[in-house]
Amino acid sequence: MILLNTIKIETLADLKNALQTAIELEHATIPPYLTANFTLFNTGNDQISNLIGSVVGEEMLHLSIACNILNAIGGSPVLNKPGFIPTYPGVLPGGVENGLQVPLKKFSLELVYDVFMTIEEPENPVEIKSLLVSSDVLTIGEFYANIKNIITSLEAEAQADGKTIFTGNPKRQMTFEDFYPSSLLFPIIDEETALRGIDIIIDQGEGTTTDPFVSPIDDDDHRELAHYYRFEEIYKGKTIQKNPSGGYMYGEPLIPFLPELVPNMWPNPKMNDYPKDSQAYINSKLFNYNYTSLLNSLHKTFNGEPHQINAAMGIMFSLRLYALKLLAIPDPNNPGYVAGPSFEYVTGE
Amino acid sequence: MSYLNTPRLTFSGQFQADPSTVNNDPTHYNNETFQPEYQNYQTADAANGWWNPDGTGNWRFIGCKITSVTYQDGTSTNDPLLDPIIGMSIMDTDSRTAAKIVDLDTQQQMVSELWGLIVRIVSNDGNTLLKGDYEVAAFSNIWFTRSIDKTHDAAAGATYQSIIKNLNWNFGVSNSRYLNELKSVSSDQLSIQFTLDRYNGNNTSPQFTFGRIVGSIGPSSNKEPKHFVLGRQLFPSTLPQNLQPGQVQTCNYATALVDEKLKQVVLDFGNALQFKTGGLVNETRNLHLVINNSSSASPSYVDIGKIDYSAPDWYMGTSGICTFDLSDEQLDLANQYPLAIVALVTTPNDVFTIQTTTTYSYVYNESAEYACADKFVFRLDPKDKCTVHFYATNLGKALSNVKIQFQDDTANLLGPPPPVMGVPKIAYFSEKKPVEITTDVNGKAKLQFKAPDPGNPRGYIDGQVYAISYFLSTQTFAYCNQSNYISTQIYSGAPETDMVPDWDNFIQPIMQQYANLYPLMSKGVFNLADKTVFENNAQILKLVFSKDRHDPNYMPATRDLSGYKRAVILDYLQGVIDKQAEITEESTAYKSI
Repeated sequence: MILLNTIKIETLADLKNALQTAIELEHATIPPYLTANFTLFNTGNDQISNLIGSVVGEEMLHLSIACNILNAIGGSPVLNKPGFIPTYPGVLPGGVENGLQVPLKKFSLELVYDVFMTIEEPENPVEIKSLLVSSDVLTIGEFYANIKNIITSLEAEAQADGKTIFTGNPKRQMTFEDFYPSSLLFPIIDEETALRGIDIIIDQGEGTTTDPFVSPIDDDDHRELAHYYRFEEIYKGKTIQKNPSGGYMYGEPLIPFLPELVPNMWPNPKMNDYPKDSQAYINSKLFNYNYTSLLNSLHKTFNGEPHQINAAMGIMFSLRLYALKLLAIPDPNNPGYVAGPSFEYVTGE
Repeated sequence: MSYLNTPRLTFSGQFQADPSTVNNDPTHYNNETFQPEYQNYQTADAANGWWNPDGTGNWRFIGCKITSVTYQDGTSTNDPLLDPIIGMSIMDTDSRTAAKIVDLDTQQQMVSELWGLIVRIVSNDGNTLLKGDYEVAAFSNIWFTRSIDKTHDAAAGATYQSIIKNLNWNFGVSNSRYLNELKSVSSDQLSIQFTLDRYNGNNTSPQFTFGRIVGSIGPSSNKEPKHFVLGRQLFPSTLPQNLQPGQVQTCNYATALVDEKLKQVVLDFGNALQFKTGGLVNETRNLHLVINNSSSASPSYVDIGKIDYSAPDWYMGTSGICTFDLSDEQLDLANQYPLAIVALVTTPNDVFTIQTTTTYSYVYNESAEYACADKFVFRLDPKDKCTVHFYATNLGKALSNVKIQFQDDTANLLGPPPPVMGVPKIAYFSEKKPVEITTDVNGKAKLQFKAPDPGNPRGYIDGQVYAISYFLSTQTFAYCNQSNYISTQIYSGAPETDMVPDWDNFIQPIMQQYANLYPLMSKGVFNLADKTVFENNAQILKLVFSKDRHDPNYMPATRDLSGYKRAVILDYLQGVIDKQAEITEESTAYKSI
């Protein structure tokens, strides 16, 4: 479980800061998940890759919802500043200093267990007993619950004065009908839609109470697992099934992991660790330039140009092409390893 | 106005061109005979997928810096203390995918176009001061003996010229005098040109897919062509097509502009000289720009000035643009007589006197009368109307009431076969009488024709590619710049069959061809030839197949999909999307990233 520093949320300004932290937090999981997923490409591990890819898609959704909420209350999301990207390995934005160190590593079952499942771990009472002794830390779920509470109380206060905190320009709301269903990504215009948006983030990430499936959009044909359990399926190599005697169990079909073809990426690469005249450096820079362009593009998307999301989609796909080039280049500093994406913000030339 | 007018800036640095080369070989289009090794890098023994089978198609500015500015009054500086724009960057997009470099056709690879290029001027602290869209343009004047220390594409040089439009000036008043002047003189569109050379096609080099670039940006006017300068056209004295066997082209076409207001000649020598090891100019001759006021009886010239290319940073510092001041008398002569470039040789008469004799030989002559198409690469679907704009000049001034003639030169200018090109021909250009148009008082003329449906004579490559040469009726194409012809791709229309296009008989073969020819795409993003992959990603594919062709995310990146095929593919994708919508309301497209 990720533990966050308690952030004072009392005023509208605090709420805006908290939502900016939420945006940074939602983004921060994407590079580690993507890196692991890049290393699975064309390795015969499509099943695992699709599961991770589905989580990344939802993290993008969560980031979008958080941006929409911030826009709805008259804030301006910032996605294109150097500090927006955490340093890997490191703690996630808003996280406690001695918290989980999140790395950029090739896919492995250990990575899934030690890192990905920890990030997405729900507020399970059994686990919480030992961890939540201190009152100055929060789970991600609690963090969002606090945001919900402050939205409710600030809006009540505002309404009492005949006002609202939802003063943002509705034209800044990003919905993307072709890619996200309107039940998941919708304009945030008031308290009801804001709270509904946050519930989607919590449910998809951590799941609900004791059910591994996300409730709001579940039906018999389509049941969606919360992220934690998708990662647990990968780790166990089995899919979640209903247990005839009640509850759930891991069973068939299996989700095998074939490690043979996974490129041996040196963990936590840094562009400047590579010699300047090496293919690794030049391709790392191209990757980072493209990644920075993605952040710039998303920044525009959530700052008044929602249609820019189309361009952002294009960059996301090309990001993979740059990553695959890097993963085909031997690491000049570490024999036996290959280079990898470093997800760094670059400016200038 | 163009990049040779003021206020202009010069820049230099590197570019990246990362085309996929599996499609460089026409036979690779044939799905029936395609071999897996055509997706491998070439070896000493096998051409395979040529030198860059994994190319992304991307084209970028890399590390380009502004090196000099010339103000409206004709004065120049390269000192950042005098103008902070010196040392700032010329960059491409920072918020979408890179521009794409695209051949017209596998049998016409000599007019590669740039699609979706954004040009920005970026301050040293990362702020975009100016941003605009580069209008699609093809390179011209390619020559393969530009760098004598290199071979293949690395030895070549070529030039792009276009306009930058949809300008976004991101400052009120700048502390750069140059930027303020540029904005006040030409706030709507700009002229840009750049020369590319010394390209690295060695996939084991860190510099792989990078090359050298120098360029220039200046004002632009809608009244002038976008892709060449209405100026003085300097032709090598021996035209490349007239070189004897064993002779090598040692200089290439150049353009000069007589700026009457500033009383200057501005010479663009950027793609003119050869280079040697280290990127140094391979030239020792004493070259002078002159006015050739010879009469038939007596040879004579008026010296305008020495072309001083000798400084080590001449090329990267000036982009090869040289400026010469004219006296009133010289300006008058320059308006009456052709320009030329001569090589002077000075020898002492004998060792005991200080008297010398200077002899000269012409290295360049002006092609005084000149006609040029502003855009020279076209992609057409059957029944599309094609309009080609021409400008004719005499000594750089409008040449009215002259005839420009056309002929179908596909067989002579394009290659290589197989498969055979230009069959069937465009009837319009194959009739017995030459097609002619006449210039108006402004020296302008329009050629218009409607594209026929060429059917599918090449079989495994869609449509037909044509080359139409043109020349003033007083000249012949043999004495023209042979880069100047019109290249046209005419796609096939709908086939005359009762076949209902479905996955197996229509979509799959097209997607198989893309999967074969663009392995990075098929291996790195989507294997389009796989029905499940294709249909599972119907939403994103519909998005990219329906984009404007100029969008850098347009699919296919190679711009070789006919209108007919595109319509069928989009129909098919819509059908898949509708069916998916029936099954579940929840789209899963976002999960494919």
